[in-house]
Amino acid sequence: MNGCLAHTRAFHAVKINLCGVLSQRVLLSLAGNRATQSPGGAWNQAVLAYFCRTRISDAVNIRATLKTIIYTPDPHLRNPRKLFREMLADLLLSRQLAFQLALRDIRAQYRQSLLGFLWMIALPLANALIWILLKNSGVVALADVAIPYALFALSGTLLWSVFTDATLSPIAQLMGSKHVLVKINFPAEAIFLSGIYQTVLHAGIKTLILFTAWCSFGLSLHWSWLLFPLAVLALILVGTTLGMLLTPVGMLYSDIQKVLPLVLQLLMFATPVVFAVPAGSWAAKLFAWNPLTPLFLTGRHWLSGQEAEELYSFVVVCSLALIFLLVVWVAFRLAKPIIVERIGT
Amino acid sequence: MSEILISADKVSKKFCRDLRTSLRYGICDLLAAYTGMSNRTGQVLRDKEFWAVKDVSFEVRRGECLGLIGHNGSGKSTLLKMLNGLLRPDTGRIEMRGRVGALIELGAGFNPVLTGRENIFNNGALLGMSRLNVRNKMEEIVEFSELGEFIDSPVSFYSSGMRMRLGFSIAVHSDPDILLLDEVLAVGDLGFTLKCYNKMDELQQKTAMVFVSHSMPKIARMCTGIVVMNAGCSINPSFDVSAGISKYYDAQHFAPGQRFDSGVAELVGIALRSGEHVSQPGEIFELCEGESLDILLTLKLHRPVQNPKLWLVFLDREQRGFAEIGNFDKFHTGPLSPGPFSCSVVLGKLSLNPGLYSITLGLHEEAVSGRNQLLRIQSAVYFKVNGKKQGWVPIQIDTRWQFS
Repeated sequence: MNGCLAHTRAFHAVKINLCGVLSQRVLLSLAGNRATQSPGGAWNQAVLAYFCRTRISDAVNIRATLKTIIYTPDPHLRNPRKLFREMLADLLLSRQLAFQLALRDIRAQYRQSLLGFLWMIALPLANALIWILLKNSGVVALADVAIPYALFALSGTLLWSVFTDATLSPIAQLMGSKHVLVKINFPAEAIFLSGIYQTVLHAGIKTLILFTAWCSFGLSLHWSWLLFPLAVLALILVGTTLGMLLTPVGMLYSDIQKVLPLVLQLLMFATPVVFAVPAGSWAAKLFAWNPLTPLFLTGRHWLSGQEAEELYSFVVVCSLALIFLLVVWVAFRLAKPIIVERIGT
Repeated sequence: MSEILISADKVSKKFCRDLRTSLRYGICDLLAAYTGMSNRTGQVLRDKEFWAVKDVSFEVRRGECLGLIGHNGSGKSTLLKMLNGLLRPDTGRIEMRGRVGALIELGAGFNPVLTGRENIFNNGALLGMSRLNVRNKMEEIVEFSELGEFIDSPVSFYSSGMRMRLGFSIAVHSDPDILLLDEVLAVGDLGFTLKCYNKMDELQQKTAMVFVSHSMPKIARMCTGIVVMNAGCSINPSFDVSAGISKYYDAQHFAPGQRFDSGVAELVGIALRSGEHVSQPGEIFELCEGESLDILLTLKLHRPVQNPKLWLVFLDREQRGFAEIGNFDKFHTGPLSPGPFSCSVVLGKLSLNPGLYSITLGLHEEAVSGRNQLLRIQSAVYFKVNGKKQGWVPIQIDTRWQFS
């Protein structure tokens, strides 16, 4: 009888041991799955090793031990190094999840709709059409522009829709994943990243449409077209920064989400979207101070092959936006547990 | 001893009762977080705040399962959310070692338009599984959920039980070191629920579990330790499962008896007797473990009853019957005439586990047309058995052991 008991114990020990190995494998696959899969694996492993603060050969051993998470009420800002390490690690972890979420959203968005992708460009197209009609009928008098007005208006409204998409995306994505956010602990960076992926995809399609329209007007190709996507990305960058800046308060109070479309509508008239920068009035000053102005001007210049006069401001705006993005990212991370606590289920 | 995977040390969390005030505090907390100041208000309650969880400490090792029980709003889910890192504790410290799988709500993150299979990828990713990992486990997950060809239908066509099947299958296949379960198995049918518990038994050897449930038999089945929550505080420092369960029951108030009365018969009195001691109407009769118990009944009939059958059922605290007395017709044959009618049931020595029990009684008449119910009184009388706690099942069989 005793022997039998001992045997069972031994069996359990083996089983537990086996489980340990299993969970190690899971951890490995969690942390380094892509490392063994993709060609960028070496890089990934190097990054992981850096975060584990060891040499590459040690990275695997580190990952094989159990990861310990400690939750305390101490403020995160006390330990900025740890904060930044966690931020980057979460960003790395969330790439695949973000891709999955973006795929989910795009599929779901178009599966339940007949016109599908057409909805994406319906609004900017209609917007452009209204302005073309307004100008041609003479209801509003607009200063002449260097390119055909229809293209001017279309490029403006398409770029503007990229910017508003990017601005509205962070808070809309977060609100949409509210129920998941309070139930499952996952890197929230994935939500933003998935929003960016979707915005980029939509922006790409819009760019293609714009190029097609451009060619259908019989205008010549220019090498600076290749730079045009940079302007689109810059708009997404600025839009995302602005959008993420509003998330902490916007998640608590619904006012932000309500007022944002209105503010964007007003902002459109202070940006060279459907008309050129007015000269010599108080409005000119407003345009000059608007950080979006150089982005639109440069984008259009690249499109039409003109000299990009605002390139310097363009670079300044982008660099500032990048720095701010980092700051609002930290701000969001600090705010996340507070938001989750206050929005409840 | 296996390693400690979860340790909570004097963990507290406060909540606000009022939404507007809560949002204002949220803004204050945001400012405090941004300035990096230690949250001075963390230790004390502000206006309209209360402790949802207060000074709870425990440890769970690999292979152990901790039950979290308590009535609604006692802080179980809040505690679980803190363990999962969704909420930050206001005081104390939580240490979690290993990969955490949490089923706070099944099917959180399901997109209704997408198919079950697509949702497996999404939810798996949310739970931290890689795409490759999900693909490898896909067949296993689909098979475990028993959804068959419905797996390629949109989730919005699923019943709540089917969603739960899918959600549970994904979560248990994510190979967690720590599994947090919040009362999720309530909607499954019996077969699947049992399958889930078997799966959890299988997982238990390699994981540390925290399990929230209101079903004491399930708690007793799964758990190696228990925390009973009451108004945010843990009220059993010993973690002993049986003692914890009876603490939980003590904190519940029991419902008064429901009666069914056809107007033919009425219960005039029911009393319990143990030796010389007879119960007063309305009191909870107390007796000691191993003492004898008799039931004294007085009924009044308003018409003659052919082939009467009087029956009694013993119920535990969850109103589950565990013993029945149905041999009335062995001792009484023929009709009962109108008027008062008294009898006593001699039970003798009872081997009941200490705890609170009640007796439901009923009277029906066997007629040619079928069974005719005349009287039924749910939990007509309560009694409490005092003694040393033994287990969690009502009947303790006093048996003989032989050794060869």
